[in-house]
Amino acid sequence: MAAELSFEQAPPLSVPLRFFFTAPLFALAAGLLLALRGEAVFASRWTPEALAATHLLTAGTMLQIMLGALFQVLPVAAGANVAQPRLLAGLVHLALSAGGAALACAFLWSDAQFFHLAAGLLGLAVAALVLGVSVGLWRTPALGATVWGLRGAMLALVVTVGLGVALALVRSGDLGGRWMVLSTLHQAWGLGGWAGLLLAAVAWLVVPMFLLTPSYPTLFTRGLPAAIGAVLTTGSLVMATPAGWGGGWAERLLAIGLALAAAAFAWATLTLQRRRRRKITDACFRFWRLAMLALTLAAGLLAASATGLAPDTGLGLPLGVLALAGVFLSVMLGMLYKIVPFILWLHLRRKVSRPPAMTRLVTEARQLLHYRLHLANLLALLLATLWPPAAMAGGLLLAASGGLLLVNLAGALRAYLAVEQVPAVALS
Amino acid sequence: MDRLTHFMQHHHGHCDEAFATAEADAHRGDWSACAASLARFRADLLGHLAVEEERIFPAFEASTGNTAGPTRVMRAEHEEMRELLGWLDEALAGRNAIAFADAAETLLILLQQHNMKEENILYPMCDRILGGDEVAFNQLMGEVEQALMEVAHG
Ligand SMILES: [Fe+2]
Repeated sequence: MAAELSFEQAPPLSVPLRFFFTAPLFALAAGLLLALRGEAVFASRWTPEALAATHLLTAGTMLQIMLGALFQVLPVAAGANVAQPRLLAGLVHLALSAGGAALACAFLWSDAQFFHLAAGLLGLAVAALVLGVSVGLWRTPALGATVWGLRGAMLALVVTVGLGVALALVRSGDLGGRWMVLSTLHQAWGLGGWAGLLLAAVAWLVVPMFLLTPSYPTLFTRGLPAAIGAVLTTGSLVMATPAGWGGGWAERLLAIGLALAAAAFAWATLTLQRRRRRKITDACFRFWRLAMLALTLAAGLLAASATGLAPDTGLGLPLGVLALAGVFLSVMLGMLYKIVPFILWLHLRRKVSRPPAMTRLVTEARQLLHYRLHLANLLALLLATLWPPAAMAGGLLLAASGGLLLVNLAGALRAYLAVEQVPAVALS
Repeated sequence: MDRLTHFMQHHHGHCDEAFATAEADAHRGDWSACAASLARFRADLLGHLAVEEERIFPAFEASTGNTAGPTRVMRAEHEEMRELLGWLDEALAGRNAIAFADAAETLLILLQQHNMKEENILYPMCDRILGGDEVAFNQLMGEVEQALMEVAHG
């Protein structure tokens, strides 16, 4: 086993970058949809426009970034090698991109054929990914809560997409309307299971790493994913009983359980951040702090929606905005601006004797600009949940945010290519 | 059995502490303090790298018969860290806060991802593989602890 492990399995540059460069295009599309059809998006989260925008962000932007990062991180951080990374990433990326676009079209036009196409492509993307990485992920010699978190997240992704395929078949008319109740489970497994467990697994590593904080307590890193898994499983089982089906019990249990988990995670992370040894307040730190504040608010809203303190009308939209833009997009933007310069630097390091510093590939000023734009975007979207005309501003800001991400990533790649093409002699 | 993991992980934290002080000193523009804190960080880091290269890696390589695997990558990353220490020296000599911040951020990320691989994968493997021979393992750990103790007090 020791002989198989080499740490040298970082994939070719094109493997993660293709996902990272596609992600902002979906954010741009979601932003334009919000700007053009904002009133419909913010009328209810069940309008075709709202569902299309939601899935452009989740199955589009978020999933692209998360899978791109997985391809990079699995071999390096988890010791889980991916066989044929270029081939697998090519297939997954193609199916994911086409599937994400097809899904948005399917919602907007309520078109059965597009639902079939989207379900097939997204199902294929996830099946290929899971088949490709699971052997390595289950056999890795690596220890620690992160590996278990990644395993749980992959399982939850399979459940999420499985439920999503079933829901697409309801919309295309192949399954009866009563199956629509599965959408609660789809959301819970997608946001709480897949995205939530992945966020936690990444946090265990990077929060201490970038900010030089103490580690999360071991009991917490083991207990939280187990608790999330237990909540999701119990909720799903309750849903499957005759009494639970449509009775609202499963929904309440899932909401309260996930709200508690989210609040505990946000509290633990903010506490660690306060104890950081590194006193630099950089953009990445701001993105994480914003995400944890949004998560705290989202947990409160989720709990309120379940306990009946607030009628469940209307809370869905601000919850969605807080979770997607506030929590997950914030963390992903902050992380991308660390990961992409790092990956480019590693590849540059092999080619030139003195590469520029990672911070020169995307400057702190650029990152800070994006942080401010993203914050304005989040506030505009939250305002739009109360006052729909603000959706125009929220949409334009989201599109601008996607555009700026693309520009910044392209800038980093340009800097990389400029250095790479200088002959080594000229630099020495 | 996680004696090596535990001890080396603890020493990573010790190096982090010294790093954070040097970075903060440079950020404040307090160059004389930075000279002292950077010297301390350099001693801690170089001591750590040396202990791995001279004691821990050879023991791992001898036990597994694998010199081309994880330890080779770790040694190459150590070389990069030594280079980046040089960047920090240049920035300190030129009293250039921006260059210092650039070099510090680059070194930090390199160092942290390196430490993560050691703490999650390589050290636990060392504990498992080397811990089998109790006498030899005790002697190795004695040497490791002694060497890093001398750095800390030197
Ligand atoms: Fe090392």
